[in-house]
Amino acid sequence: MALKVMMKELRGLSGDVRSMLLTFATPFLFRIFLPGFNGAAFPAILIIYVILGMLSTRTDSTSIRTGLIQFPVTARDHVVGLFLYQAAVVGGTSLLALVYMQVSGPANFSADIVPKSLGIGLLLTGLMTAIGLWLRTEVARVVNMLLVILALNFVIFQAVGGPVFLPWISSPAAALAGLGGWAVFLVLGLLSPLHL
Amino acid sequence: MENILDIKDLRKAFKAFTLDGITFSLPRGYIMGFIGPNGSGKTTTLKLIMNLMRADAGTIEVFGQDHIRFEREIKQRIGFVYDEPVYYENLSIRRMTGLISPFYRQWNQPLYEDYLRRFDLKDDQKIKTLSKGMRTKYALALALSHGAELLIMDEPTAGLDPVFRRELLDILLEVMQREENSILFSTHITSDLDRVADYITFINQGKIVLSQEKDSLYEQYVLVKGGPQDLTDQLRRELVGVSVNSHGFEGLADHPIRGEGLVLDRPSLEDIMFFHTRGDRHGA
Amino acid sequence: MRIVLSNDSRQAIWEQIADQIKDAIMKGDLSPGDPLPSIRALARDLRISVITTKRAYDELEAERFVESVQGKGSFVAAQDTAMMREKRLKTIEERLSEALIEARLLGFEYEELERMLRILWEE
Repeated sequence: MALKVMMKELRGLSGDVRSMLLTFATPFLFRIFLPGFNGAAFPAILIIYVILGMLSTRTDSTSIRTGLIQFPVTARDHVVGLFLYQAAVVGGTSLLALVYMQVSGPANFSADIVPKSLGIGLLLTGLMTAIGLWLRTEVARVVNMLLVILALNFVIFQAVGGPVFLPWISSPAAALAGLGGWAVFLVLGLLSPLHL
Repeated sequence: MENILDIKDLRKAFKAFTLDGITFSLPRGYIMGFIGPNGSGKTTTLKLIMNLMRADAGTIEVFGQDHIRFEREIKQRIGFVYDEPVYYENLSIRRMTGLISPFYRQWNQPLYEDYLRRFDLKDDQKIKTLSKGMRTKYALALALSHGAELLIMDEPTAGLDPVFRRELLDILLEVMQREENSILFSTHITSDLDRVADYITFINQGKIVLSQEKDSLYEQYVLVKGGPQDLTDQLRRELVGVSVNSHGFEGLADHPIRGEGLVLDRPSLEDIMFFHTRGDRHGA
Repeated sequence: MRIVLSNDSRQAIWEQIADQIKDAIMKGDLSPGDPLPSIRALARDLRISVITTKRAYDELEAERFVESVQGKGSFVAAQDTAMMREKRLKTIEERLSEALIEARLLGFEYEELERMLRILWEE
């Protein structure tokens, strides 16, 4: 059932063409119109920006309420489905970033930036969703916004640091850590007391 | 007789308010009006039934099954029309329904389309352009199109024009032609229910005041009216609640009242609600 | 079948329904064997509670005006003409008694009442 929820959310996202275009296009537009807009960090920026665009509409209590009222699923189904959906979008965006890297010429970017950003992205979505489930909507929104800004700054800062992105951790380790963190937040999210 | 809904000793504590000792049942085949002033706990009770929050104590059984253990199966058979129907705003009605319908085993597309037509809703309208009334109509179309046996409605007529409110009642009466169906209709606008409800459950400040057949309610309660001098202390004690002005008084009694010069009348549900909640209380 | 309900009437809704159906039967608008609408259909048409229509039908059944066949619905029962006449007489008696009570309250003399009855009879 959680898979069904994930598919439903993905279809909901793809049905909302306008939001999707806005979310995915904005980083690219920045890139085109702001020359020097942190080129090296771009793939990472893309991933994190997409997270920002996606999450704001899915983790507040109103959305969760919709998910539970309009659909004959349990809260557990919905939360797991939500996490899966976000992992899917982060994964998909990472692929997009990879493609972009290949097309622009891989030499322009720090090595390993995509797998490691994927790890960061997974960690971030997990954390933000858990926050959305535990904290009140207004507070969660602010906290999550700050987290995204922090993350963006972090990757931009790291990307100018050298030829390897986050040299202190290997790609597999970063991806795994991200996945692990995501899973931990999933469990935390499932433990949150429902208050809709 | 099988009860479609059984609630026993439900309890949920909040900071400012506690829902306590909520017990009532809805037999299959009937309409129950769930009435009470704003903030009395109606919506909370409905949210507890729909598992949007967990109770501190008590049990809820729907179709004879525990509402938590059998949540998915139960939700297949319930149509829920919520006070503020929410959807994914940027989608069209068609897309939104396209997300919802695959989840329901008994989804009836022709019936759904028929309802859309009756409610004057167009497939390609974007959800965010819908007024509150239209959202409620959409919610109703969805709730009625998957073979639900229990319809739970939270203030469905708020925001609807009087013409459609009447149509809504007619639709509900159509639904009730099937003996397996039941409707739990929560509202503070009791005029809708005065005639049509079979049972009335009245909640106030988190507690159930009464839950019984509507007809017996009318037989039991009487509206007592008289001039200022007719309101003796004794009479006041006998009344559930009373409202006084310079020309006289109006009060509610839950047993037969006799008295010289008193005018006795049949109370409306609104009167019954009013005097339980606002009119000055007698003695106690 | 004509059923018109009044909210203002002191009579409970179920009584109004039962009375009007009784009237129709006694007047002959409804004949023995005629089917009555189901309690749910009647509730829908009159926009009232199904418990109310059920009560009306139960009352009619208790007074032998109507009989229910399991699975088929309710039908006008065969009417015993002698019994019907007796019922009619009883109704006349009841209504006259009501009028008498009112008259007494108003302080009528018997002759005034008789005069009124004659005028009405000749209308």
